[in-house]
Amino acid sequence: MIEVSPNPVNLEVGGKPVQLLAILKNESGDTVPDATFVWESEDATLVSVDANGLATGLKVGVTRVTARSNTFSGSTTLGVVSPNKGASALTISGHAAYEDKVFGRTGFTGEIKNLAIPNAVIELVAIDGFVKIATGATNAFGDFKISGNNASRRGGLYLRVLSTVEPNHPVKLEIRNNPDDRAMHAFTSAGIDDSAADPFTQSSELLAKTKGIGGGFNILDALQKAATFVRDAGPCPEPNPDCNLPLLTAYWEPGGTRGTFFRTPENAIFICGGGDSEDCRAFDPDEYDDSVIIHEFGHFVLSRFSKDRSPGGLHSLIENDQDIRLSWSEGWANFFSSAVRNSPLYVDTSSGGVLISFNLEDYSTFPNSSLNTLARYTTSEIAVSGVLWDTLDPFEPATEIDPLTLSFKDIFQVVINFPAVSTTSTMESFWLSFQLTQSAKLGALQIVTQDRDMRFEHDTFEENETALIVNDATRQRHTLFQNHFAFDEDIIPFKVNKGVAYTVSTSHLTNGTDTHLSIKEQNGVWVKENDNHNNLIHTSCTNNFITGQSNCPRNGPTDLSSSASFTWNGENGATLNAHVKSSPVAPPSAGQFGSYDIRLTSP
Amino acid sequence: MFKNKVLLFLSVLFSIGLPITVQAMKPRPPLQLALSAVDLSEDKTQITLSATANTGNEGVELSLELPLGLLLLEGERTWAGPLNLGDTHTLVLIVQNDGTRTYTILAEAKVRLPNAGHFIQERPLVLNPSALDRSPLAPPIRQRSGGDSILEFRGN
Repeated sequence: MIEVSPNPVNLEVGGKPVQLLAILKNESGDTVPDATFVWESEDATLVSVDANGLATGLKVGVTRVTARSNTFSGSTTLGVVSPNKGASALTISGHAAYEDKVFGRTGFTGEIKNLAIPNAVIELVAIDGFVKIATGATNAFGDFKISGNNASRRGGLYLRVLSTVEPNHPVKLEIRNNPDDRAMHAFTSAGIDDSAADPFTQSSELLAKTKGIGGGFNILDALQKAATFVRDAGPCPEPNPDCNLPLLTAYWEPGGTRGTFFRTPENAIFICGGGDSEDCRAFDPDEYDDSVIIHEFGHFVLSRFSKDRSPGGLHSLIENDQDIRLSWSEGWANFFSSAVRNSPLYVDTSSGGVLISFNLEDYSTFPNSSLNTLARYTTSEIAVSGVLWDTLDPFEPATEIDPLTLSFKDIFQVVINFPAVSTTSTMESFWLSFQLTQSAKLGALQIVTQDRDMRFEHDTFEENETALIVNDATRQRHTLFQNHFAFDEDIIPFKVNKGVAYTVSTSHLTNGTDTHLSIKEQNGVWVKENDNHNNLIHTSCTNNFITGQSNCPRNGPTDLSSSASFTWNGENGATLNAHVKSSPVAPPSAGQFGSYDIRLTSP
Repeated sequence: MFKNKVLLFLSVLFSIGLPITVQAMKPRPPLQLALSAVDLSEDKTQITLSATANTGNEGVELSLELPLGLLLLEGERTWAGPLNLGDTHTLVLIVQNDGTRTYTILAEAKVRLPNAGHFIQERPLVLNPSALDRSPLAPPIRQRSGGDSILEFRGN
């Protein structure tokens, strides 16, 4: 490594040059003798440096001079000041903005828009001694006005805009580089020579570029929009009727390798910055992916105002047998992202195109696929997102097949009411809470959910069960559903003959069903019982402590099905009952309701 | 013996209710595609496409489309088969590339969906990009303000 001194250092415009000194050290920290260095100024309009490291100040501002030797380098910060004293009455006003990258269904369009940086901390720094002399904030439109006194120092200032919402604002957000260093980001103005006049006023237009730290300020802006969106959807339960959220820290840095996820209990979002790791890929930075950033904020909102029991971890768009808690959490987050941005498009860009691009309105993806047939059941995050979007649908009027156009406030009130109706947090909880808070529209919600094969209804056999017929090719289809999380039990009769072997089995389980099957005589005497056909019990399934992945079973058609085989050895033939209900030892990944087929077979 | 002690320690941790860390990750496509190029010599480049399954996939088709002017010297451009969760399949091609022109290579993956149809993913790679595309970001200047470190990036 190379150490350069002095660091930092001030020099005056046109004043005495400063001799910089570089020392090359080996891994043990010992000085390597006779090393030669190549000196370079990062901004030769501010500081010039000769081949021997003699630095001369040319113009007020801050830059860096680097010494290189082979593959090693070290640098020092040089602040060039005026030889005259600074102004006693300073007023710097202006506008702070960042370059935003516009995206569409196929990725970034190439268009760059300058957007205001609202409500961010802005500081006025005296270059002489690198001292902060005033603090202010941009307003909701990115405008600022900051005053100070620099008369005790040589003239020379710069502005820096910090990646944090100003402390008096009700929204609490900050962007830091990583959880180990926890440095805040900022972008700076060019140098300002305030020795030219007293009082001194100047207007400055500040811009964070896409090639610089613009992405960090896009994250700040996207999160602010999301937080404000939530505040406008109140009231929230006491003692927080304004729906204020605690401080959220987003960790991101150019080249960052951790992300993209929201992590409890730290209240932190980690965002990929274009570095390569197991988490992130170099072609997939997320600092300009508003869909992704606000999706993660949606998890934060759920964790604070409702419940979130999702096990988290890896999940994919094309799954419809997910953990029912995860499909709710991810479905909500996808929907929340679209609601805040007022767009059914979710786009995760990557270099040259997209990683994922889908449309909640019609389930199409780019390029040229459709998830319409796959987006089914309460155990599909895309189906959950689509149902929630259909309850909102701000663009389209109500139709026969899409009859709801609620406000986000209405939907948010349903979600924050979860704790009153449910110990968990799933699409089933949404149904039950909707029943209480929007009861007049329940029929319309049923049309929307049925479109995605989510069955919150009694089956056609409920009032009058039809007997099973042995080896009938047509399976009976039932739902397990009751209002208010009461338990449904289907009692289905079937005839048996003496000495004959039978199997009653459930299959084609959907919507998170976990069946428990008991065979009983008409007088209630127990014949046979089965919970899971493979006799495994998953009640205590949880996340693997090391990998973080859930080890709960999936909600596929047969993962939690039941099968009971027996030979009827009674005196005569008889009529038995198959009792089917939700399993009392269901894993936390299964639902309470759902649908199943039942069949009676005999060899 | 040591393993038992570790298990006991972990059990105690969970029993006293230490907060469990959950990572709510962003949605992934069925495959994680990575496409990269390495120059083997002045006129030969190795193109590598890796596809890692984010979910179990019974029918996967991978293909690499080479633009006109890029000559294939070695390797198979297509592959089809199943990929279980966490499995990776890699295609490696060697192409003739004198570095004088910019080429865009397109990798495509088709994942067969259970109810018919395919989920299609694409990943482009630019060979020999222009110099402007490669310029790195100048590192920030570190300052202190109060109790915070601040990384100052040049604006405007």
